[in-house]
Amino acid sequence: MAPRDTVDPVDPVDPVDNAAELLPGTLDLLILKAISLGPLHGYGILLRIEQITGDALAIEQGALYPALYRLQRQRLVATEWGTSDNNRRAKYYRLTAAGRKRLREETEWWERLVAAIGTALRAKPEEV
Amino acid sequence: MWRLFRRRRLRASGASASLAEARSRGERAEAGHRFERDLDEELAFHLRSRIDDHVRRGLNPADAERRARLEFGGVDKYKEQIRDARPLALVDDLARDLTYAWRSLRRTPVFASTAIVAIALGVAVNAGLVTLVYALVLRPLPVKDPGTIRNVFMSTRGGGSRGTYGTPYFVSFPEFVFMRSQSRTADLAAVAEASLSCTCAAGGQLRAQLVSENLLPLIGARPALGRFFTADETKTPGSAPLVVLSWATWQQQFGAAQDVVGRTVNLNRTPFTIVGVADADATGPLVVTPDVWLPYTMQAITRPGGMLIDEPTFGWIQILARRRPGVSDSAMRAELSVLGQQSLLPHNPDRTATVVVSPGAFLNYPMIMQNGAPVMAIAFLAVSLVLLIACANVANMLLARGLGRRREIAIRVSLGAGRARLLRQFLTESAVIGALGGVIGLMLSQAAARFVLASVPKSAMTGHQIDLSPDWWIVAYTLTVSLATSLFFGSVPALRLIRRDLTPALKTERGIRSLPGWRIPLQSALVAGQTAITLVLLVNAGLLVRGLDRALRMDLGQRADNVLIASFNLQQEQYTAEPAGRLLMNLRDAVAQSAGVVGVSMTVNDPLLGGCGMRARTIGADGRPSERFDVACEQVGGEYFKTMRVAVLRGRGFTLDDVRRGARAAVVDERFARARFGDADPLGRFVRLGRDEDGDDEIVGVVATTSGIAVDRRIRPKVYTPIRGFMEGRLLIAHDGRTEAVVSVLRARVAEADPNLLVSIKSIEENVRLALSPVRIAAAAAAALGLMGLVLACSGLYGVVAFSVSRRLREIGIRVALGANRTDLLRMIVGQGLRPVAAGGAIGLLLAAAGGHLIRALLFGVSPIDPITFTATVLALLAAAALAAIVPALTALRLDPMVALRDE
Repeated sequence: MAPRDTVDPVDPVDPVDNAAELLPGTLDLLILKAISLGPLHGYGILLRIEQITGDALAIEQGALYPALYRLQRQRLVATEWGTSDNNRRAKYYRLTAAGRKRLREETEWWERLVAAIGTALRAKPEEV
Repeated sequence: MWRLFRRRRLRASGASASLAEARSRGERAEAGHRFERDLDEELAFHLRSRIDDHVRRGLNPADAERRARLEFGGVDKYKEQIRDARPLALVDDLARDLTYAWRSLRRTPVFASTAIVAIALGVAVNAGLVTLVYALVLRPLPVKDPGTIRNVFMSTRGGGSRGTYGTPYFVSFPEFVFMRSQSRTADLAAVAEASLSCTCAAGGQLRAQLVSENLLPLIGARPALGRFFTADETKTPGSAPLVVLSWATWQQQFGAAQDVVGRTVNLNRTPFTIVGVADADATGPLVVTPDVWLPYTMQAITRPGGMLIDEPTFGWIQILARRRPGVSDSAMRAELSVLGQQSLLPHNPDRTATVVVSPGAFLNYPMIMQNGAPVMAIAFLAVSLVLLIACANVANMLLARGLGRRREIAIRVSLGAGRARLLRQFLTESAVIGALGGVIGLMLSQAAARFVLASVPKSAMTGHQIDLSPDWWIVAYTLTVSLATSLFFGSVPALRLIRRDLTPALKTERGIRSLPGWRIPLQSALVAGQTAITLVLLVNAGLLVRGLDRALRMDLGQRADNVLIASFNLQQEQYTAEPAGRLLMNLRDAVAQSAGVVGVSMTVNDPLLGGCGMRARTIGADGRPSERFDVACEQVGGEYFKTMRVAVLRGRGFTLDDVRRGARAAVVDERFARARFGDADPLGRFVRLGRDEDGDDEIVGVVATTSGIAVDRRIRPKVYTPIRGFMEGRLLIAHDGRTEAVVSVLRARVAEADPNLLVSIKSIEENVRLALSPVRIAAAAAAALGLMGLVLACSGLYGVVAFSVSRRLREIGIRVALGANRTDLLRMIVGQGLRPVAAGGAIGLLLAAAGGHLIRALLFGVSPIDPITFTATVLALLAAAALAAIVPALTALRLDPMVALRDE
């Protein structure tokens, strides 16, 4: 697919002060984590991410959807149409077996990375 | 709120109402677009849920919606990303682009059909030529497993005597037998063509292939009845008078009789036994399909005296080979080169063999491939130029239309449609045009190729099996050419359209207004290019027509009308030289007495068509022979120069007595006399033709130089000698115009002399036509191409002027309203429209002046920069271009100025 140099007419909104930039790849991980606790529709995933990260991450809400479709294509999540709490038709996402495995791997990788970075940052001059 | 979202969505997907409608109507109607519906619903659900949450937290609905939207970001941007993330997004996009392209072409049927027709015409001439060339020299032979069939061409150079009957690549009987028996890389088979007389055939003639016993099995033929030849039957010359019938001959001449095997037929007055019938698919490995196959060892009956098969230095056999498994062409060539050289040792030790191994195809002789290449290159150049004009036309139309859609494009770009995506959409449109044009072009090319083949004189083509039907190569070639050209020429305007700074287009009411009025450099450049190419094509066509005209009026130095040429099948009727000579002399005397006949003579070469070349020496005054040089030779009867009105400048022509007693006399033409003797008197000197042991002929006369009209005019000095080869003799009968009477007298006299003898009579005018047919075909083709180019270029110019006028309607309206003179306005519009034509014309003139030299051989002395042709062509082109510019200009000026002003 050719790269797109899209012109975005709307400035990104930053609803939360001091929100952290999202590291590449972490959105997928957060989505997998969010639906690992039970099937959710897209808006529900957003709320869950806001909840579990304590609103610490800023993303344009729309960006969630390309990520969801990408995960669906990788068969890490499955979808079905259902009815939401307020009785509207909504598309629900749940984790597949592959998705569960990926979540585990990514979590381990992430923890190792965090540990490594943490150790590195804690290093004192005399230890080097 | 849903309503609000929908409105926004509609605006987002393209502000042009028609586009949005087209999308929502067309795409939603299709089941395949369930995806889009679901996506919309999912995103709408998100926004609604967010808005509800904001309202619940106390925002008013309007603020809530605004907030939700800001938080979500660009809906269309994300939708595009999602579409790309979809599985099979490419296919889906392609389908969507195709639908879109198809719909937008349907909306502008005039544009679409003009563009498609332009591409179709351009592709048709191109593919037509390729089809012809492919059928003649590239297409695999119509035999079993053509992939391993090879043509083996051996030519020889060096000293010693060597002759060939047919092409210079034919080998003699002992050479073939040697090479076949020694080759480990390939199975070699022999084939040669002959025509036979047979009372069994309608018309009395059969086309025969003389073959080695393995040829029929080698090409995959099977006996439908009986059998083919055995190895023993093709070993000893003259031993096996056997014949195999082709399926068609069996069906048509023998009524498909089941008991045909074992019957006896007389071929060339020799009884032959039918041993078999080949299956219907066996059509032979040569261009012409045979009626019968004979053992090649029976060659002698096709030429009494057996002059070919008994003569080891005379090549008449074409070698067809089946390459053995695991052998490469180069290995085969290496081996056959050695074998070919060895095969020459016994009889031609001083000659060197050159062997070429070519894929099995009809006419891919090295000579044809070499000599034909430049001709084909010129032809290919010409058809490519037409294609170029057609493509420039399409590019121009696309550009004009694209400029009209600038606002739509600008809006879509600003709303997040990627430029790459837009480019793809434009290119899809070009590809649709190209594909449709290609398909139509393919069909037209078939018609064109057939037409060209049909315009080749029949006599050269009887029984040919040239297959013009498109195979995958041709289809793939045609579609590739049409798609590649349409994509390339589509990308030029497309890149230009999406590259532009789009802000002005958005700011103005109608985007196009903001562009400077007349200056559309790309369009002008395209028109100029088209004009230049068209001029080149037209000038060349004009030159060829003038050349043809010149050739028809040319003083040939000899008679080219009111002469009948009578030829006989003396060989087939088993005549030998002496009775043949007697027969011709008697016929000559009988016809000479008839009413209407003003002169009768004889010749061997077919006048104006045939030729004979030899090496000769002149004998110096001191008796020492000169070096060998090339001469044209001509064997003629008594009173030839009088009959053919060739002026005798010195000495005398041949008398009847010279011919009767076979006098060792020669007549040379003026060119010969000047080249060999300068100012000295050639009379009484001697010329030695061919081998030294054949003796000298005394020069008794000098005649005016005649000029042939055949395209291949190797100009050589000419030597006439009294006719000796009576077997190939023809009667030349000059008459006073009473053709019918003379023909019937001639037929009656021939029937009296020998009732079995076939005589074919034609006029010398037919030979003139035949000789000029390459020029005529070239001129007709060039004229057709030139006219096509002219029509395409003019329609392109028309489009550009119409478009630029339409963009200036308001300006024109104001000028007219302010009282501008309409004639002045017309002059201005047309003048500006013709500016690129003038520029292109100037370039075209230079190119044409250079290009004319390429076709010099076909011009018969007309200068390649013939001023009459150039002037006439330029005037015609300018007139056509002016017309193409005036029509849209007049249309614009006829508009009511008020309408033009209101046109917003």
